[in-house]
Amino acid sequence: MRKELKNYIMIICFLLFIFGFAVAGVLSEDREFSDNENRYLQQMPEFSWKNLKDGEFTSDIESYMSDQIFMKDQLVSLKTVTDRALLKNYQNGVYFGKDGYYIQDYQENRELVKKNVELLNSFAEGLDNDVQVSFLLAPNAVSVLSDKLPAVNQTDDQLDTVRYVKSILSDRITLCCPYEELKQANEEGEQVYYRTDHHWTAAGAQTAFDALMTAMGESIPNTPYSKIGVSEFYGTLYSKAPYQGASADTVDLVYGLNNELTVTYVGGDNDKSLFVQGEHKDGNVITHRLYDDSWKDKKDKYATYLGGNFSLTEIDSEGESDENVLIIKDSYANAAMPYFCQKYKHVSMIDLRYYHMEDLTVSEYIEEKDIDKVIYLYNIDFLNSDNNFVWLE
Amino acid sequence: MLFSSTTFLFAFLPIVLITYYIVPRITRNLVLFIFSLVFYAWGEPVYIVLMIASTIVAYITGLLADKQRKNAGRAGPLAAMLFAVVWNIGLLLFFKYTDFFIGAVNGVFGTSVSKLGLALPIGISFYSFQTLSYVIDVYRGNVKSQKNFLNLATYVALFPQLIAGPIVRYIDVAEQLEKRRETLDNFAQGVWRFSIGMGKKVILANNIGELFDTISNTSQSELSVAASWLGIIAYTFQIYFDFSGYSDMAIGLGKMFGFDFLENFNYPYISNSITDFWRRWHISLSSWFRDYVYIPLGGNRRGKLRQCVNIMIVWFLTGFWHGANWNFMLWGVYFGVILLCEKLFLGKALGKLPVFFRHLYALFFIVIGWGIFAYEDFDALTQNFKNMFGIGAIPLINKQTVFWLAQYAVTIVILVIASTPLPKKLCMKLRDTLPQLCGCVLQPLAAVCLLFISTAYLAGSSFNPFLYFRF
Repeated sequence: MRKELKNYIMIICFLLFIFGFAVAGVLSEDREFSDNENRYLQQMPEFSWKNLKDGEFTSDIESYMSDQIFMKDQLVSLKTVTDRALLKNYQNGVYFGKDGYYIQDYQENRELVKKNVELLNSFAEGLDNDVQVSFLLAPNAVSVLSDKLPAVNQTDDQLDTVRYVKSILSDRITLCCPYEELKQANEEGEQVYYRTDHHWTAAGAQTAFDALMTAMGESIPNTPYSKIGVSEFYGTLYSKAPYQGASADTVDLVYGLNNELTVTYVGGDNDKSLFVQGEHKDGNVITHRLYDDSWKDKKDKYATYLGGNFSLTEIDSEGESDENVLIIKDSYANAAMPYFCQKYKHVSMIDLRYYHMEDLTVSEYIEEKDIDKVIYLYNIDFLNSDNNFVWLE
Repeated sequence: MLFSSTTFLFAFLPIVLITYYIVPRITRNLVLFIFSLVFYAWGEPVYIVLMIASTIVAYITGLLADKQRKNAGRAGPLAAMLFAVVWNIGLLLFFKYTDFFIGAVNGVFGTSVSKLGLALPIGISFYSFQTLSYVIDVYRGNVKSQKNFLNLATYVALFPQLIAGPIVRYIDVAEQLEKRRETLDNFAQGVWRFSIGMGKKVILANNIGELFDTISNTSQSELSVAASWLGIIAYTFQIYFDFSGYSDMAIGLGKMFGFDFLENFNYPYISNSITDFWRRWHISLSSWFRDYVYIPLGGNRRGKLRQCVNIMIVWFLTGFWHGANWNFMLWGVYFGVILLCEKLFLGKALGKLPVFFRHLYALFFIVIGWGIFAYEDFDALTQNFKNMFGIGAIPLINKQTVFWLAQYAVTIVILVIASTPLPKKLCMKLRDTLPQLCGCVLQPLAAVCLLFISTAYLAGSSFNPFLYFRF
């Protein structure tokens, strides 16, 4: 009898397990999109004999079964928990750092850095001499928060990259790498990077902006800011190793006081990735805020800053200086825009990932708009991995 | 289809189990056969024809090879048996080795015969050997021929062992095909065995497999001597837990349907010699070669020299069976040579060594063997060995290697322990001291935990290769 009992328990557990998942999979509604993984999930494939013969049908069923498995997000989290129990503190290119920080690994690709810096150099050297060119090179959490990294890691030293960039950078360009400033702000208790995302926070961006102004020999606007927090932010790094124990971030939306803004998404009418609500005029989309609230309820809350990245965005404000500024940038710039707008009345942003084959090349744009200052704003990881600098012409 | 997939666990298996247990006993083989065809066709809708053809050939030649049948004559059974040999070996040669031979001919004679580019039919190496052993056993009179086609077809297609073994011999399951008793006891044991196999494959093998994958894809300039050893040790663990995990799942599934398959592994990494290792590794394959090649060649009954030749033939074939590539041949010959040495003189010398050194000796040559096995590209293979023995102009150890070691330290400790009979002994002890708690709570709990974590790994990672799929 005792033997029977233990057999029953074992068998019932097993059957509950496989039938439980099978039935729950059938009953639970299929998801279209996974916020957590930021991708579309496989839907039930349609049957056809051709599909079957190609093996496409069966392989689609396989992805359907694993994409739509019951409690997928919890299962993925359980995998992370198990990996951490095995004392693996690195997963999909991300370290589990101290104080709940996810930190992205950095492997220097010197050839690409060289190529990209040379493209920045030759562009700067081709500009009129009265155009001032600066370069805000943002270090990533992996260097600024290096004391939060696991003691044994494989990351390369970003300061090596900075020294290298400095050594080959054209004299035409004023370099500012706010490593020390960010480190100090962190030590003073500011959160300069998100715990769950690869970006810097508004506070980090402000620290860097101040450092850039100093390097450019400019004054820092002495105006007060107010801020509104968007909480429950689980960023891109979290998605690489989702984990129930992770603590959410807050995205601060910063407002310069008494600053009326006009944000023009040039050509925004045709951009399917632009969700911001605004006035449609001459193919452009115009708003009066730096933020796109539609992202507040989505996963990528960092995209609340300007609604993400677009080829060309022009911002007119009541900033201190009349100068026309062009920022050639990656997504790190978006969090710094409140501060730039407080300083300059006319700021244009160009993102080379999207600014391809436009009516004006970047240098023609600079001429046409009578740009006084060009600022490159890139984070080191981006400089080390992006291939779109060739569009800088 | 792979056992370690959500499709198998949460769709295929529940449906098969329900259908199997609600239909009348007499149709159970039919259920198994049909579902096995679905299982096979899942990944190979075309080659299923080949497998059925092979089954038909086995059925007919099996009947004809039976010397006891009426009007058998003398030549008839022999001819039938030989036809089965030619068919199965021919099939294997054609689908698995043609391109290799074309490549070799092109290489030697500088010709440019174009390759066939055929995909390898899944499981062909396994089912060819199985049907062949059936016909030979019938011819030898060791087992009666199977008159019922469905029973034979069920045996060949039986999904638990279809695509990756163990190489179940007809003679071992002949009775079970006709009358078997599915018992609660068997089913419960099957569940336990299946869960352990799943854990070995998905949690352990995939985990350490990632390390081997990373290291073998790391550029030469970032490697170190220690890293190349770490890589090949990772592979050593990966292939064992991958393959033995799969065998465990096969045996477990067999039990759920009332079958008893023979064991395929017996803690190969605790061997104290290479001879010992080959008694413990992929037992169904080495015993197949022993019974159908080594012994028919004369085994050890025709003098020392002939025995040595026989051993070399068998191990060359064993290696070559694993794949149409030079490295697999080399791998087989490598073990053939070591086994010969052990037979001739080394065995005696080893006997005098302390046990610890015997284990060290065996492990060393096993790991070196995987170094040959793991790399199908010859340049990569030689480069890896140069790296391991310090002539690759790389540092002894570097930051990268320390990082890998730290990441996988706990995993490796678990793998080492899991390679020994220790966990099993502990389980037994626990069962003896606390039979009720163990049987009614701990064991089911452990099984469910293993299944849950395995499912989490299946849902959470894209890395789920299966090494023996190719063979």
